[in-house]
Amino acid sequence: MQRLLLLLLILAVLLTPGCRDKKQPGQSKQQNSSWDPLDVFMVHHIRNFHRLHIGVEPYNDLIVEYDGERVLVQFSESMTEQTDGQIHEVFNFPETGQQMEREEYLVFLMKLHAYLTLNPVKRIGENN
Amino acid sequence: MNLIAIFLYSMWHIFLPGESTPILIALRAIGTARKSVLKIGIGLAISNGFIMILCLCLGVFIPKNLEQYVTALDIITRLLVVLIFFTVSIYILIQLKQYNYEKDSKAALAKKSFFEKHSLKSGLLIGLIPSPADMGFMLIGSMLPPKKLWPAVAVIWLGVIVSFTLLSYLIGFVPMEMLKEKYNKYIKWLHILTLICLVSIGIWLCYMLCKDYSYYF
Repeated sequence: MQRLLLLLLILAVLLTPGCRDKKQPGQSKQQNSSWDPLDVFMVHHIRNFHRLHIGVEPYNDLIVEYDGERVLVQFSESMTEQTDGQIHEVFNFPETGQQMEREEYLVFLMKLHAYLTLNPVKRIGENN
Repeated sequence: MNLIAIFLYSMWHIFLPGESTPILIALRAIGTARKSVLKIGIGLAISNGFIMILCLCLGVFIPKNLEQYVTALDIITRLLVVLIFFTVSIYILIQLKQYNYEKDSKAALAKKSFFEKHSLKSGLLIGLIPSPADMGFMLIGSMLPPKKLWPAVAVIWLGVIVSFTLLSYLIGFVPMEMLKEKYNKYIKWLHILTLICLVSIGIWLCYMLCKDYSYYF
């Protein structure tokens, strides 16, 4: 029994790297379109726990668009109002939104999460 | 009002994926002594807060060029969390192998496990892994007004201390010693269930890490 469990544990550790998305033939690193900016760990956490609406549609608090290479991030007007414009100052964003690389986007999400942890009341967006 | 909300958020935060709470529960479930679980919880709370303040100080006092290291730090810390989950799983597996469930367990009960011998140290060590929130504090710390920032961070630390200590104190009330004596045969299955839960969380965390950074592959 113990040996079987140990084997399962080793298998689990070995198989987890296989969970990553497979790259299509001819697809470069920059053109990996299977990566979805709305399907990352921090987005799920911010949506479910901090109750911030994140999505492509314009009624979301944080509008995220992805063209396969770069991510466009924009705070909604209501979000700007709720934070008295502070959110644009903190993130140094123009109101038209900010284009960023995928790596920058993940770092941005970390910053956003920290901001929401420190400012939990003002950001509640129930605009949809 | 804002500080109360921050306090409540930080208390709730310890139940979220990637936190060390399942480790605490698992350790109690496999029969780690009540006092040791409490010590691990206190250790976790202290070092968690320490690393949070350290990250914040880094962000406030040397904010330049930190961003370039954050991605690597995020990958390393998330891998460390996965490693902790798998290490505790292996520890449970070893216990499963060593522990004789069919016979009288008094001798096994008297024997102190690794986490009982080094409870505070284990808690302090596990809590030293910075969370994504800590790295976020490091990045936006310098952008926020200090008058608001420091009280908020102090309240977050207080929330983490209260919740970890309370949780480890409360799970100590689960009468594992009595269960071990009375239902010794079934304890083995509780250990196996705990092991499966920990491994599942570890695999899920690893999967999310691979998915987040899948564009690297």
